Amino acid sequence: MGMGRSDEELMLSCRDGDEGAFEILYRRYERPILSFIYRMVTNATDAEDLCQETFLRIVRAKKRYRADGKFKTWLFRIALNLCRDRIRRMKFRSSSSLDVPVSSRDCEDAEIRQAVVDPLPDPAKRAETEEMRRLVQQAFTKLTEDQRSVVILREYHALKFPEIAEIMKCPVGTAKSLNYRGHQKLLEILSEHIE
Amino acid sequence: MLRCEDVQNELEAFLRNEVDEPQRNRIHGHLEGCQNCSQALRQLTKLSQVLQTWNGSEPTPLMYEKLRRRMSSHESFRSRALANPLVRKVAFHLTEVAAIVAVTLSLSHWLGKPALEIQDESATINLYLREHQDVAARAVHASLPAPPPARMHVDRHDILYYEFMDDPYEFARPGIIVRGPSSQQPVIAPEAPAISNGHTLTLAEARKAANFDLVSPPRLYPGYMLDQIRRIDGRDALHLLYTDGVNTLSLFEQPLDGQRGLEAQDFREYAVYRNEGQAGGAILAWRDDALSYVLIGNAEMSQLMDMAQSVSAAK
Repeated sequence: MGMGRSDEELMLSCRDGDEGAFEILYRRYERPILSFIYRMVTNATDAEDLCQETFLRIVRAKKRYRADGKFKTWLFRIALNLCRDRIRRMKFRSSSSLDVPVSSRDCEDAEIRQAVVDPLPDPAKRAETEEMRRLVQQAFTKLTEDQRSVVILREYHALKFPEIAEIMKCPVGTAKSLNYRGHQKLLEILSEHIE
Repeated sequence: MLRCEDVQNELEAFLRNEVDEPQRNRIHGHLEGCQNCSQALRQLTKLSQVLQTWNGSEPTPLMYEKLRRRMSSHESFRSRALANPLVRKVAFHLTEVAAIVAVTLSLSHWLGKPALEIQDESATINLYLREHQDVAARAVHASLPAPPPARMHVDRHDILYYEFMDDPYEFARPGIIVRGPSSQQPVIAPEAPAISNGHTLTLAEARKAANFDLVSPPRLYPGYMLDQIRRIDGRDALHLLYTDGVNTLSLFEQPLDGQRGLEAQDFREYAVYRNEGQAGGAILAWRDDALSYVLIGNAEMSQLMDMAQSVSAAK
């Protein structure tokens, strides 16, 4: 029921008071949005909270919704804005930094979640994968915020450049350039694991 | 003939089949004869594989339930608040003030000019945001199916700061801040305590430094706690920073008869509001008989209005 309807159709129904339509949209995007935010802020607890906030904003803005843009880019844009706000606040308060490796608590948190989604039977293989995951996560912290956003949207969400440009509110060429530089930087940082 | 630089710029899109057929063929042709670019393609492919080791986060089973609770608590707070006649009255007056967040094109055009070129001393501001009209209608128990935009007249000297939020429609709303009546008193550089933006004050220090009856509710709905208070250098104004642990909100207070009020740049000094050309949030400004307030945050205007009610109630 409703599963074949487009995001925009569901959002219009949601605007008109159909709570079921909102739940379908939520279930459709809960995982990608949560993952996107998690990779941006690298803290599972914050990611969960910001994910909820993203959907709350959708609900609060529903009366003004007009189906003249893609729902998906709108949703990611809200999530990205919340992430930027969160990252700025972290920098502003100097209590934590994305340039610093994630805390042990977050590592534990992440490991628990990784274990749920990626159960590898071989302990050695698992340790190797876990180490690589940690290196990748750290490598992303060396990218600028915009590079990180674009590369995450490309690599993990397979979004096309016009969509990313719409989310980032930048020209398509800028999105491409950020993506290229981001990938080059990751190649440089992870070079010994790439050869 | 493609250059290596052109090819390498497009390799990532090439890998994802996002280049058109003729260009794809050209890149293929180039790769066959270029070891460097072939190597770059292999590295990029491998990088993509390596990046996939970083899995995303899994939602917990109760996430949706938590969201539902947050949605319900927001709705019930608004319903309770609007059920109170006093709050409705306050909301209505706040709505009148909030009307100034919506400005006609002529005003924005007019504001874009340097101050010296401005001939007209006033501007008409239209209340056209549906959200504000709805709040007003609820507050007076009126049904306004197609209300004409409410209008108010603003003297240009009252406008301290104006900005069009450049987010798309989910947040899009113009923001405007009006200053209190201009003071005729001479401007005197503030004496001690010369507390800079970098120093936070305790509540007692803030009250002493303020020289006015500071309104500082410890909590603003929904769950924002007072975190820091700072004095704005050289101004009779205080900045109160609230946070819910994730987002922040700024409340600026200054006395209407203050010697030196806030300037536009005072609102830009905090990353909480605007950073690196990125807009985020809404602005609500209002006054009572003694103070002018500016509330800035990454929040819905209706939320800011709820918070403004909390501030008024705390006085």
